[in-house]
Amino acid sequence: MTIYSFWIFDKHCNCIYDREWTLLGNPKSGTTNSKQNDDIAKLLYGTIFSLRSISGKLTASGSESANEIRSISTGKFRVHTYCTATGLWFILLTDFKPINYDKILKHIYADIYVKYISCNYLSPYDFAENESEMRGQGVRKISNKNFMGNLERYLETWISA
Amino acid sequence: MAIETILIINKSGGLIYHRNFSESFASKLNSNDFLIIASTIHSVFAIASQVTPKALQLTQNKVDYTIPYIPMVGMESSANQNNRGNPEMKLGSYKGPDYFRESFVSWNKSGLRQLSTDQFTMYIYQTMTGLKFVALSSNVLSSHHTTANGTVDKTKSANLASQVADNFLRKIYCVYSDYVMKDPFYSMEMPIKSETFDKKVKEMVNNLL
Amino acid sequence: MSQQIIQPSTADPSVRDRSTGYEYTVGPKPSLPDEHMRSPLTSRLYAASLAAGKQQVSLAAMTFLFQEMIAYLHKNCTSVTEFEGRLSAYGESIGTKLLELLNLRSSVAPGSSSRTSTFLSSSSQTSTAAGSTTAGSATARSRSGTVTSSRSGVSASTHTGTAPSTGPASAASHSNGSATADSHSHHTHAHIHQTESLTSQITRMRRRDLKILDILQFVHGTLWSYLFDHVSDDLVKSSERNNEYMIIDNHPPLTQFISGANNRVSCDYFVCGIIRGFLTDAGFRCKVTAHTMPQGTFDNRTVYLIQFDNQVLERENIRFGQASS
Repeated sequence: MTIYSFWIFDKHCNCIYDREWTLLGNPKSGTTNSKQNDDIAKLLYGTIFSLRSISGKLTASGSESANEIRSISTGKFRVHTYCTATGLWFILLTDFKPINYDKILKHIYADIYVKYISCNYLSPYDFAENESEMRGQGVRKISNKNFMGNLERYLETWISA
Repeated sequence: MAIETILIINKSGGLIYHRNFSESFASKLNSNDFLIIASTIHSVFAIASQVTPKALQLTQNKVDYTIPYIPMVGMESSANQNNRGNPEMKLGSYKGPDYFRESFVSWNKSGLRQLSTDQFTMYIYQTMTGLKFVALSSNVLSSHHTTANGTVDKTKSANLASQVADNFLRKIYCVYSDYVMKDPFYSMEMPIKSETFDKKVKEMVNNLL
Repeated sequence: MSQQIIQPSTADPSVRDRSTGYEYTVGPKPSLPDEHMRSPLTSRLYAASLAAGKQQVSLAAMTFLFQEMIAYLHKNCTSVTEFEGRLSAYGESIGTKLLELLNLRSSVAPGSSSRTSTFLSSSSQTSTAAGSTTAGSATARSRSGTVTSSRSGVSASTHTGTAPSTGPASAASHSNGSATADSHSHHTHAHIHQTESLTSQITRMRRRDLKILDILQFVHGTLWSYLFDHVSDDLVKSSERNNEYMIIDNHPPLTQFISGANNRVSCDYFVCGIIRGFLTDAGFRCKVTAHTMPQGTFDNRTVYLIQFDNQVLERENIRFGQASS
């Protein structure tokens, strides 16, 4: 299993964190919160957004729960998604082998994001501060050292595996 | 593997064939909704290749796109076939007993191939000409296992499911090239109204169950 | 070589002095002596189209051609009757030609072909090499002879409903394919012996079919196996009208990909035209129409209804009395 990149989107369609590993099997390589990834973030968001709308329409009759996307695969890579009730999306790009990454994504949310961002008084609750930032023009990203350090350490084991 | 819906999308994103095989999905959707879904799939299909990670772009690793041949996917069992005694090997047509007998290379190399959600799995088979065959299966891909490691068996079965889906959709493509392309009353890129094609597709879906 | 005199094409001086190429340093290249011996076209090419060997056409190519034909007519016709009439007219010209060809082919008696070739090989024992090659081609031809005899055996056992089509037919085609393949390898050496055409194998022409039932058997068996590689599935006389006969095909290959029963039947008028042309040219004036009658698993089952003119029935009555009715 190989992990290529990790993304967090907030409820205003803004990418609030992105991490891409450019060298395979090297957890130290790559970029964090890169400007260059802005366009790709938008494409990624759009892809998942469109497919979510399809899966929302194609819901089995009689089921109450929303039909959430688990993974999207192309011939080259696979996108794993985890959507929280607060509208946050945790996204992991990996190789195309059909492995379930749900637990990893849940762990990142529950044990890393909640612990170092949500429970942190100094970190903003909402990363969009004004009107335009709430419409997908957000520029603010997570720059919390503890969050980033813990995330690196957690994902390192999966990357080098 | 229960197929719920089959869609065929032409190379410009128009829905040319649509059929639900059960009422469980999409019963409240009208044909307009399906047109929207088809064009959404078509556009996402193209966008998905743009999101390719940099690590993949930098390394020229060779991915094997060969899909193994799985015998008799969506065909009648041989016992039934002997009773019917009809399928003949006809020259120049796909109408062999199992349409094809060899592994094939997928033409869908960078586009969207599979979408798995909580309730269904969608498989997309693209032809060389840009025609897309979409199958909606109610089977959920590897839903209940929770760990990422130690799931070799589950991975295999999920792989098998997507291979079966590719084999199946390729057969639908074969049927399409016989019963739609060789129909003098079909005009290209238009919705398929052929009832023989409809019947063949339905037969294959029923055989898959 | 004495055989040169027999062969008109090589005896022709223009053919003999044909230069085979132009060498730009030397000028026109003189042909080598033994290239005279080789006729420009092996005469097998002429005989091959008449010989009853199995020649198959790709179904896809055929259907695409047929599809264009239909699309052309469909664009130019204003009514269904006009469409069916013109499609049937296309078929009629084929039918009249098939009457000649198939009668000629059926005149080759199954055993006679091998007899004539053994006769020829015994007469031309000039060189041992030539003798051995003719023996080889003779065996090849006798093998194809057995194939035709077995196939005519199938067509002779008419009335049974579904033909035993797939198994023996495909097996026959395979053995025939190998036979033509190895006979072809002999042709490069012994092309002179191949000058005998199909006509040289015919000792006596087949007698013309005079009875309605005979000609219909011929359509049901020989014509159908020539066109579609299987005997038609049934040949029935109408119980209500005296002049009506039905030929039934459970699985018409030409129109199998066409959707819609009404469309399909209209396209079947091509085959109707072939039947009509065939019968009319044989002296049985008739009208042929196609009808779809699904039965059991055969959704495409098509009935070709043949309505003979009254004059045909009258003639039959006068000639053969009450025996035919």
